[in-house]
Amino acid sequence: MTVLERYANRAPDSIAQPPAPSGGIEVRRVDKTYRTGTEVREVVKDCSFHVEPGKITVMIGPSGVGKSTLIRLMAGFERPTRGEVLVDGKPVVGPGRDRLVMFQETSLFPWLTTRENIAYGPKARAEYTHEARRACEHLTTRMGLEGFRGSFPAQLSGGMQRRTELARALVNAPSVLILDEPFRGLDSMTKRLMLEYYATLSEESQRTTFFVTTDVDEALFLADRMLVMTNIPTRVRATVDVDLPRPRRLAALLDDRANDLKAEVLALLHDEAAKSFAAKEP
Amino acid sequence: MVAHATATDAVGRASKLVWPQRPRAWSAGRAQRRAVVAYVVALLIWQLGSTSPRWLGYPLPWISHVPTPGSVAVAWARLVSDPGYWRSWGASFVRVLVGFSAAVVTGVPLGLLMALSRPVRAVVFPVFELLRPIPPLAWVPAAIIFWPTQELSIDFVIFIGAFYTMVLNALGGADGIDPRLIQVARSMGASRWNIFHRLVLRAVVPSILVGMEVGIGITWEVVVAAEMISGGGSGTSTASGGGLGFFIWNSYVGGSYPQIVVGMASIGIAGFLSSAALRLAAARFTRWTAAR
Repeated sequence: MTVLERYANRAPDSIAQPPAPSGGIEVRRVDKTYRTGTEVREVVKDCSFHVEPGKITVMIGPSGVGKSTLIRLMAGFERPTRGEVLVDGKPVVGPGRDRLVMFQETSLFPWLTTRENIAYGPKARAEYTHEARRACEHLTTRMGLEGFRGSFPAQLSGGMQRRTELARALVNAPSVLILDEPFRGLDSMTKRLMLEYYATLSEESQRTTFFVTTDVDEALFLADRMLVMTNIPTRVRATVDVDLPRPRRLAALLDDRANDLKAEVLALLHDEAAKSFAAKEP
Repeated sequence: MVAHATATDAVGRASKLVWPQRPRAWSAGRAQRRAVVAYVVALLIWQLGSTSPRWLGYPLPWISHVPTPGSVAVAWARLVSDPGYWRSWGASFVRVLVGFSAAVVTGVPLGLLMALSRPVRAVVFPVFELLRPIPPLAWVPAAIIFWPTQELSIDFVIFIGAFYTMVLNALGGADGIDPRLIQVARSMGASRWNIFHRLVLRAVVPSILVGMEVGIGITWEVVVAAEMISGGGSGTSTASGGGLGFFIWNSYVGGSYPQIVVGMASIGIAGFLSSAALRLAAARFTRWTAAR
């Protein structure tokens, strides 16, 4: 029995989950422009899309087109120049624990141990109750970090750092999890394991997920719906519904339906990447 | 390293065996042996150099003027039982401690304040940058005029020596905090106060400790010069109570050259001890960086 099958066979857990699928995000005609001195950079222009509650929406696009900018707008770290972002119908005015972001490289607190990192949210809000402690403990076990409670992030491998970070976010029971190329920089084996692990986790919990990537296979494997983005200034070029059956296995990416979808998305991406490439020529 | 990464990921819980272990004990012992060899070689060069007129027939430049290790050892042995010598140690140590503590206690908050508040930074930083290039010793005359006692003037000059380093290291440390860490904390509902004392104050510790290590070195340079220039402290005309800097100056005036070397070596030891103590404290407070 592989590790993943062991994970997959565990009973679905109810801790740290929102009661019903919530966390739907509505991005409405959003523009984001940055001004530095006399230079004006339009990063996002007239961008609209919907992140359906309880589903995995994957945004894919060439690198450097403002996907991370959209994440910062959704998380509330920055405000759009025009347009608005709504979460469960309410406009986003700042960061909130209902929308937690997992960044590209590790953003664990380097001076806290695994245990302290995971407990950070409840402790910061002075909500570190008996129940919260149990949720932390449960997630630590769930993520396979039991032996590393007292380790500092620098002592953990890349995959363990990612799992600690996932646990740190999940313990706050966010209604939507926003992941910005979370598995970038991991070696390919670790990345596959993390992908399968994440898929199992979200199939069980039905948590709303917004996942950003540049990798088509990763996108196809996770997505219920894919948003293919245009070159900068970015907006949605096409929406692709991924109707591959669940639970998914990475091997399923080799079948005909998956290949058709992949070809479709790659054609769109190639088109946009070519534009981006042309735009960078003097 | 590769084996370590995959082993831990595949199982989720790795055995302790795959941890990369630094061969600490082995390298420390080796380093200590090398240090002893280095001291012996340095003493040998000193001995040969200072006795060069005898065995070479003519004095080697510079080093032949240095008293021999033997004569220094004799002078030192005599001084060890002299309470005046130890009072010099005490006087300099107290001055360094007072000036340095004042620099840490005021410099760190000022640096953090500049990092956290744009208006404060806009007002304070230009003035700070203008004062910073003024060497501590240039403050000596002004300090003597400003402060009621000579003791306070010396403390002040020492304070100036460490102050700028403390401010800059606190400021740099806070500026260097990964903004994503603050975004994570804000997202999770941490208050501004919580972010300040749980995040900012933790993140700046390594750079403040580096600043302290650099700063205490500067204070030893400054204390000695300040004591020489200002005459060693209120009402003392002998070596006793004047501090190590004054001790050296007094030995020079009195023509006791081996004592000059004793004074210099004492300061070397004092500086070494304070840096070592700080490094020890640093290692305790920044265990999380040692893992890298």
